[in-house]
Amino acid sequence: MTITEAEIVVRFTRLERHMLERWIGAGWLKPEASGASYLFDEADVARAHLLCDLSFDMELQEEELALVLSLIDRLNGTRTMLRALTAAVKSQPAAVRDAILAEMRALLGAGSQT
Amino acid sequence: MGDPYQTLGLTKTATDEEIRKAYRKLAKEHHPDLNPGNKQAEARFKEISAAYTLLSDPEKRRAFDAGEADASGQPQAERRFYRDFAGGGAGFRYGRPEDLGGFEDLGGIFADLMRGQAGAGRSTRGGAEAQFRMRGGDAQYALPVDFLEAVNGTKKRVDLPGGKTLDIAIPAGATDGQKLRLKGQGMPGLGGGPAGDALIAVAVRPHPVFRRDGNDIKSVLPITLAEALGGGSVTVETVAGPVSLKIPKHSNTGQALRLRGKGVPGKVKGDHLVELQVVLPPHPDEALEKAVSEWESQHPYNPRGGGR
Repeated sequence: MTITEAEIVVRFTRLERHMLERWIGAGWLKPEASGASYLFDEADVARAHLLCDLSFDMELQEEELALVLSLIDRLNGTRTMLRALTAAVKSQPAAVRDAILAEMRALLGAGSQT
Repeated sequence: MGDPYQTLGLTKTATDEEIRKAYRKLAKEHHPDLNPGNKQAEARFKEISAAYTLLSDPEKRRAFDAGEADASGQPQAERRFYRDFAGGGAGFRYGRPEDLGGFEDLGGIFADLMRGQAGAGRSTRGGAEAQFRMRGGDAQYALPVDFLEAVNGTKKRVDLPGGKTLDIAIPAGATDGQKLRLKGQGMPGLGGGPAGDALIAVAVRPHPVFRRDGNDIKSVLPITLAEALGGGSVTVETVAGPVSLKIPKHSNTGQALRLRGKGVPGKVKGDHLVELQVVLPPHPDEALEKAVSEWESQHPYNPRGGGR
């Protein structure tokens, strides 16, 4: 389900069109271009909601917002990789899995010393 | 929901500014997108938001303070947080390749782990590395195209995250919802695995005049009273451009004229069906009324059955 630029401004009353354009210009939102306008899918809408929260409720200025957003994206990227890794480990034979877990415990144990 | 003041850590005497500040602080702490792995964050954040929604609205706050309304039943729109999407195609759209960069040496880490276990018996190193090769996921995109672009085919340039640009050929006659698969243009593979595919779903925007019925195009053509009675030649827009159409004498509303081969192009060429619609002049006219009414008194007919 996609919605238009006009619809998203109506949905988030605090969000004004010029801010939306700014966010798109900064690459913080990447809706599908549609002629002179844009179409937002569910993920874009959820992200716009997040940007509204950061900007209006948490009152982050643009520089801070960029920093927080980039950390969120990196965190999500890391989590995606970690999920893939977990799934890969899970699909291994029990012996391999145990070996990996044992080694990880050793590594994390060693890591906490430093 | 409990006492909204308590939820925000406030007392009933809190000022609007104090309420706003308390919410700002708690939102920063509990926002689900700032706590992507924490299941409780969402419930806590919803509670905080509901409390703030109530207390930041003077009328709702007054009603609550006066005991006229309780804190429950604050309708809150169901909300999906961005984190719910970040693991799928959206993560690929918004995350940059370097966001995954810290794991590029995973192959190496695995090799090290496996070497450490080699003394314990089997040498599993090769096998484990081979199994860790993973094909990248398919990335899904929706590509809106105009009605005429879908009918006649077109090339679309799409900017993907990471600066990649794809030229996508929309075949002539593409239908709404049709999926185009671009091999190897999806998510990158892991451990040297092949990339996934990009799946492009074509979303055809409706046209103000043309409708599509299989390979045929349909449109409604308004004609004047004189054209309906006496026939004539008019210009009709088709998906292939304007063509001249001869309207036969005595043509009626609802009558369809077929323009062969002027529909959706392709192996089986569709036709364009023009449905005529007789339109009265824009303003009432006494002379016309009189003439038609006189004519009808001499030639009565019943279009609702029986007559001709």
